[in-house]
Amino acid sequence: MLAHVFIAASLLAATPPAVSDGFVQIPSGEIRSTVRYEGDDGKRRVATFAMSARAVTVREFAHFVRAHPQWSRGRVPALLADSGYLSNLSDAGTAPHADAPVTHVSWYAADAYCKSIGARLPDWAEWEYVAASDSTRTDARGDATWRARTFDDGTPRAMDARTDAAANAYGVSGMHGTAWEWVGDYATLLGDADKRGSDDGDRLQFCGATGLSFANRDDYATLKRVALLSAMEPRSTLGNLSFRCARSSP
Amino acid sequence: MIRATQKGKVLLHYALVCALGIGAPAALAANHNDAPPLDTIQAVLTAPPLVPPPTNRNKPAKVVVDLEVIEKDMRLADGVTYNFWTFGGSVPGSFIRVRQGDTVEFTLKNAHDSHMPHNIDLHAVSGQGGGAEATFTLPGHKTQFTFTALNPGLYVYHCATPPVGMHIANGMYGLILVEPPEGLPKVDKEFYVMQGDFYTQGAHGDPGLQAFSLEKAIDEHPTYVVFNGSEGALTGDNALTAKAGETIRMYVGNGGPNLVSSFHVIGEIFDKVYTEGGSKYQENVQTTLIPAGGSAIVEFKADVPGNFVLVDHSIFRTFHKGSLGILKVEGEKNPSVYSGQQLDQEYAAPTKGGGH
Repeated sequence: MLAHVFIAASLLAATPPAVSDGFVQIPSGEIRSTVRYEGDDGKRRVATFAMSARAVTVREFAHFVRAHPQWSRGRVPALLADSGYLSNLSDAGTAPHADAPVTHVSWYAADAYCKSIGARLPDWAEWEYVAASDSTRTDARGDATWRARTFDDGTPRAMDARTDAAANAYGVSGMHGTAWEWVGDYATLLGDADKRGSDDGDRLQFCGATGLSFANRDDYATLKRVALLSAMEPRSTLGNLSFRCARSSP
Repeated sequence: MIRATQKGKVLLHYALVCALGIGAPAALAANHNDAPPLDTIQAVLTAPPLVPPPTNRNKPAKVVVDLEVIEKDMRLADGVTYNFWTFGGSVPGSFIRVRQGDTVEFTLKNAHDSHMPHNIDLHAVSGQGGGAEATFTLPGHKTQFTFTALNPGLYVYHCATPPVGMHIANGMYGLILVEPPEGLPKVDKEFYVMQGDFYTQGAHGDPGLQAFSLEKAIDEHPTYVVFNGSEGALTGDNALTAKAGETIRMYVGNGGPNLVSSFHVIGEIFDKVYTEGGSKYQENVQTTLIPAGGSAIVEFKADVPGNFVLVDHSIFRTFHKGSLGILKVEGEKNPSVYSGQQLDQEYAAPTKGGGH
């Protein structure tokens, strides 16, 4: 595992990240995830993939809505987005900067956006793998000072709050920004594919079997992020929840 | 050691189960068909050091409690601010007062500008997670559950969303009083005081907005130990006030997250202490121990005027970390109880060669 990180790090140092179409190639590797599944030790193998260099912006999402008006605030069905959907875009007084990450977007809408550009939402493991990086290291999580700054993720004090904040070692920006981000498999963080169906009388098994446990109980930024995502339904939206897209390697 | 580890696991599991909302909204079963309908009362909530008025009821009621979680920067000490997470906008959170047997319809709101979900575990609740699983609430949402206040006493409430320690360390705690059916004996003044320990990146007194220090919290080395959410919350113009001869009751809580409080009022003796917030009282107490996540009700008569000092008698906390408050009692001096200084003079040194 160390060797992988080392090789990845030296490759990164030698060559600038390849950016095309707004996506950055992420080399494969292993990460010890803070989230454990089914009693494993949290080790995850992440295959080579590409990730958006930054979160999807207000401008980009507005363009998507114009091209796909079924995703406009007035037309989206309540099943796919709650009442807060794009509420900040319709109110000129509070409309965010066009280059800021789009927020008040449901999982369904984020999923549709990524599909519209031939991409998908990143998996949690992919997201966590890239988010472990700071500007020089692929895994900065052992640095208590850096880690402490991640506690402000999702707040105006976040380390990547400015849209021009430095990119991480992979060339990806804004992973620790003012908004949290959807991941494609967020619902599996609770071990169930569809939270709407969770009231099946089998909750104890559901908790006992998967019920999230953490491989690193000091990683409070991840604990907070998972607590937040686990509270979401796929139609939910928040003023501090954004997303970015990913593409599997061919 | 093995036992301790297992206990830790159980606690973590409990925290997650209760915090992650593994319950779905359920319609409330109506079991009161035979009982007469209850009057519905909107609970009066107060910010510290104020306490809502006694319920003054001889029968149970349906009490509606609306509490909103608000995250905001507030003063922690002179020149020092902290991003507190609060129940109702204050630290400690709003004081809730109900009567044993009341049916409490509890609504938790989470402000639209909160950055993450929160919930509430009320120690006064008999039920899964003390309400935590029923109140896991996203920003901009509200949740509701109903409980019957089965046991009288003074109970702590707190947030139980992961990471639980961080939510409590950021100020998410308060008190709920469940009066016994006959109420508590009448007193002249009631106050709400709650201790908490805070962990900042900077040293004590370092100015500006201070971030939470996980390392200090894990090591249980607080930067601040304060009453009512900040240094000076109960001193100067904010001092508690009473008149000589008045009877005083303090509802004292300890939010922790880590420290146990040795609560003492310098210059007073507690006539009664409802130990740990329960139903029995001890009499004539100097210092009472208040566990983290626990409480005590202390009562005394302010016999004479003076400035009486509330402290955690783990005393370095008082002089170096902030756990100090003042009860200012005005009125006529009573030399028969306390004379004040009667003498200040030198006395003869021992004669040379005399020694001891």
